Order: sequence, then structure tokens, then C-alpha cells
Amino acid sequence: MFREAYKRKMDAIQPDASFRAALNERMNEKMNERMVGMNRRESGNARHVKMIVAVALLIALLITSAVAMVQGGLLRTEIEESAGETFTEKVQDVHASIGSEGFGFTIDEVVCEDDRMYLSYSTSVPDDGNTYLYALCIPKLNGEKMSYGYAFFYDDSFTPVAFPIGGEFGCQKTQVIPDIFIDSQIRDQAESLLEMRAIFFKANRDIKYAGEWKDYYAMMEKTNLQSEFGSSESFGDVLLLPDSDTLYYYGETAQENPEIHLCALPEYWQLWRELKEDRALDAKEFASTEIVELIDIIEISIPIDASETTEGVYNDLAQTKFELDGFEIEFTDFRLSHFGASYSADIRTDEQIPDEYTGDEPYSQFYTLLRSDGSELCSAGNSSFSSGNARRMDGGERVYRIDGDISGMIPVEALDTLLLAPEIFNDDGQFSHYDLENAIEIKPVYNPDKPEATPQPKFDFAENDSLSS
Amino acid sequence: MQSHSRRAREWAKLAMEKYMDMVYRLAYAKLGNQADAEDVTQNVMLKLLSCEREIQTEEHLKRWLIRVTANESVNLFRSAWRRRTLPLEETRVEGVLQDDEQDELEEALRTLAKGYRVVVHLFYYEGMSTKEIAEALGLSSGTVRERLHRARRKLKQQLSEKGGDYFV
Repeated sequence: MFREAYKRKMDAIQPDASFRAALNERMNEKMNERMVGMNRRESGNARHVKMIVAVALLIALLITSAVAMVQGGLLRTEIEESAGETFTEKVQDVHASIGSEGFGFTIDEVVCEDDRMYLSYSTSVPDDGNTYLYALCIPKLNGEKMSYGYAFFYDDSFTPVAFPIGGEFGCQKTQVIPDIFIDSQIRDQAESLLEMRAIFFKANRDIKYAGEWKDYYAMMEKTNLQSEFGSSESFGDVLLLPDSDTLYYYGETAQENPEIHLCALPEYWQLWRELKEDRALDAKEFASTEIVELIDIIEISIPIDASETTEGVYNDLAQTKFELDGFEIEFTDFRLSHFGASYSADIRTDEQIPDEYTGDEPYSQFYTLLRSDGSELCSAGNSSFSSGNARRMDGGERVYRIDGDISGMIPVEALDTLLLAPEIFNDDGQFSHYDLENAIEIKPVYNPDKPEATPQPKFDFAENDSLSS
Repeated sequence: MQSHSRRAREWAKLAMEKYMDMVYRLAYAKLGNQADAEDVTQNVMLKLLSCEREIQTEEHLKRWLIRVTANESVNLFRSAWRRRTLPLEETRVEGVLQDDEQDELEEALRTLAKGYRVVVHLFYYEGMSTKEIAEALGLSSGTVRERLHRARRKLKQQLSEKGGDYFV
């Protein structure tokens, strides 16, 4: 019944005669233009054609650059160049931006895969030499607080994690929120409303790097909320930084994306107690302390369609076989997406590959994918696994197979070239460094003719016409 | 041996003669109005002319058209203005179905996410299997089956509420 009703409805949908005629005319015109160009090339007038192509490329480059600048969509631009039209559609290019007086907030891109969403956003402040802070409220989807990391701990009024921006920290920042859980209802809906709110402060304290976590931790004191602040609720102990004129952040390096945990400040809990403990702190209330001064609150609401934001994927390599010194590596599987990478490659040598390798063989190493500058692929949420094993193929041939799996968030930037680099370990088994001198340069591509490996369906159902199944 | 340009021209002619309606209906299924479907159809056909990829067979051509149509429809839909400008009434097709039936069907289809509408259309109208749909759209078969399953469930729910007898 449904099929028949649907067919009746769609049979009546067809282009009208005037549209057909106009499109036919346009197509003929274009075909003739194209034939003229092709005939010139085919008749040997290569120089002329090269000039046309060069001019066209220049124009295309200028247009592409202009679009990229306007949209700020670096990822999209790169993907278009390397993967063709089919790849670009996997990312919802939101680029909804708002702001005033030099303070800006933009939702950049949204990507989904199954029950996970990835969000990127940017903030900017005036280039006046001042250092500011911004905090992000937990984003909401259809009015509901989204589920990820910090969102499990705070409500949507104010997340007391602030990021320094401006001055030495740079006036523009792009951040990502990985691994947001979305339920199937969101995926089923034609449109969902994404709401985000950024709060800008001016810091009234110096901002300094405390060192690594252990250094930061050493500065902290354990405090019992009940005894220290007279809390009536048994909230337990918290770690606080003692009163100081400084806002500290920690990380492996000072340049790492700094986060300032405002909830490590005694003032935060003092205020929380004064507010009767029954609700979260509001940014405006927090801004009345001496720590910060509220500058602006910027909100964006934008409709998104989760079903159109499927994860983008590079599923192949431009070159899959590589000759190295004494052995050959051939990729048998490759997948790179916003959420990570996986790969398999077989190594073959002229010599017999033993069952138990000694570790001295040049090929018997762990290999990992790196960016072209040698840095790690994922900057956030990174976990990786690589292995190497000798195995016998169906025909009796022996190969050494390497497998790698990197999960995490791929940042918004170009990834047209990657390195497959051996990992070097110290004698004590600890990782030492990546051997970039012997790394292989690979170029991920999107190949529309290569079907994706079919994952096991979460559930099965008969492929029939019955809607009641 | 024919040059690439001549073959491209022949494929384009075939696409215009034989597959224009398919492209147009697929775009309509996804976008829900004829003006947008015309825009997409034109973009797809012009893209075919400049397609650098060698089309190998008619089946290859059909799959190419389906995928690019689905993608072009996304591009068009990205315009936030466009999303809100076309009321449901504009999509009514006169004289095809009974008014009530058309409204029910139209409303039910409207509640589907756009990615699901394409799968429903290819399955129910073009008669493609989930495997063929997956290949044409560049999705995994699992994804197509899941979308189809969810779309059916939602359609069933929507149409049952209106008392339709589509599920007999």
C-alpha cells in the first residue's frame, strides 16, 4: 500500500516542458563549448589550452580562497580539493557567527557518526593587548543539555572552566567538543535546534603556567566544603588553589590549550555557599567577584540536521605500495575520519619472515600515523593501538602485518599528507621517539568507488515492503 | 577509439533523455518542492558535463547521478533562508491523490530526516535494494538498512495516527 501510494505521488512529479527545453538548450551550449575546447587540445594546440587551463585554475584558486576566507572553512576547502564533490557533503558547514566590538563567537562545523557528535566553534577578542577569558555554557540541542565531558558535572548556566584568549594567547581560537552523545531521536528528526552560549570575561588576575599536572597538584590543598564554607550538605572534599593573585593553568607545555579551572578557586565555592547551594553559579554572579569582570555574553541558535552531518571519511590512499630498504609495504586497508584512523598493511621481503621475529628485522616495528610535520594525528581524546604480527596468507605466503587504530578527534585542518612512521623504543621498553627519517609519506584520498566495509548492523529486519515489520 | 569528451557528451545526452526525471524526483523527494528540484537537476546535469571521472557503463552513470543528486540537494538545503521559505502547501501535486491521502503522505514524509527521505525514495520508487542504495550513496549497507528501518517505523507511526491503511 505504501509503495503504491508513494509511486502514485511521485509519478506525477516531473519537470515541466519549459524547464526541460531550457535545460536542453543550456546543456547543448555547454557541450558545444566543451567540444571546441577539447578539439583544440586534440588537434595539438596544447599551448593555447594550457593557457586557458592556467587562467581557469587561477580564477578557481582565487574563488576558492575567497570562499575559504569568507567562510573560514579550512577543512571544507581542503576536502573539496582532495576528495571531490562526494566528500564535502559529509560535514555540516554551519559557520553561524555573531559578535560585536571585537568579541566574536562562531559555530563552525558539526559532524555526526552514529550516536556521537563533534562540534567545532571559534571565539575572537579585540587585538588590544589585553588578556581575556571565555567560558562556554553546556550547549543545548532542542532545549536539552548535551551530554559530554564537562556537561556531566555542570548545568547549562555556567561551566567554570575558562580559556585565556587575547594578548599572548592569540586573539582567535578554534576549539572542538568531541564525543557528544546524541540519541536516535535526534538522528531521526528533520531539524534540531543547536544553542550555544559563550561568556567573555576580563581577567583581573595574572595568568600563569603552573607546569605539568603534578606541579599544579602540588600547589593545591584539600579542603572540606562543610568545615571550610559551612556547607550544610555533605559535599565532601575539593582541591583548591590557595588565595593568590594568579590564575594558573597546567599542561605538558605552556603552549598547550590552556584551561583555567575557576572551580579550583576558594571564591567560587564561597559564592556557591552564599547562593544557598541549591543552584549552579551564574556567570553574572561570578563576574561580581574580584577575579573577573563580565564583558559580554554571546548566544547562537542554529538549526542543524543530524542526518546530513555524517562523518567524513578518507577511505583510500593515492599510492598503496611502497618499496623500502629490503622490504615492501602494501596497505590493504585505510580509513581516516574526523574521529580517528585505522589501517592495515602487509610487509613482504625477499627473505623468509619468521614466526618469531627478534625485533632486529628492519620491518618488525610498530608503525603509527602522524601528521606531515611529525606531530601526532589527534590533538584531543587520543588513544592509539598498533601491532605487528607474522601471518601466513591463503596461498602459503608469509607476510608481516601491521595494524593500527587511532581514535580521537582530528582537528579542523588540512590532512592531505600523512606519515607512517616507525616507533622507536628505549631498552627499558619505553617509547622514545618516531623515526621520521624512515617514515613513509602517504596521501589519503576519498575513493567513491571503494565500498565501505559493512559494519554489522545493530539489528536486522526483513527487507520487505511491510511497514508493520 | 572515442575521446573522453565525446563519451562525456554521449553520457550527458543519455542522462538528459533517460534519467532527468529520476534526478528531478530524487531531488524533489529530498527537498520537497519543485523549484529546488529544478535547481538541483540543472546543477547535476551541468556537473556531469565537467565530470573528470570516466563513466564506464550506464549503471555507473545512474549511480553517479543518484549520488551527485543527493549531494547537490544537501548543498541547496544548507541555505538557512531556503529552509524556512517554502510552506507545505506549495508542494501539493494536483489531481494525483485524494487530498486527504496526499496530505497524510506529505506530512508523514515531512517528518523524516532528509537523509532518510532519499533512502525511502530509492527503495520504494526506484526499487533499489539496500545494497544498491549503499553503493550509490557511498554509505555502508548497515547505515542504509538502519535509515530505512527508522524511516519505516516513523512513517508507520505517523500514518497510523492519521488512520491511514498503508500497512495492510
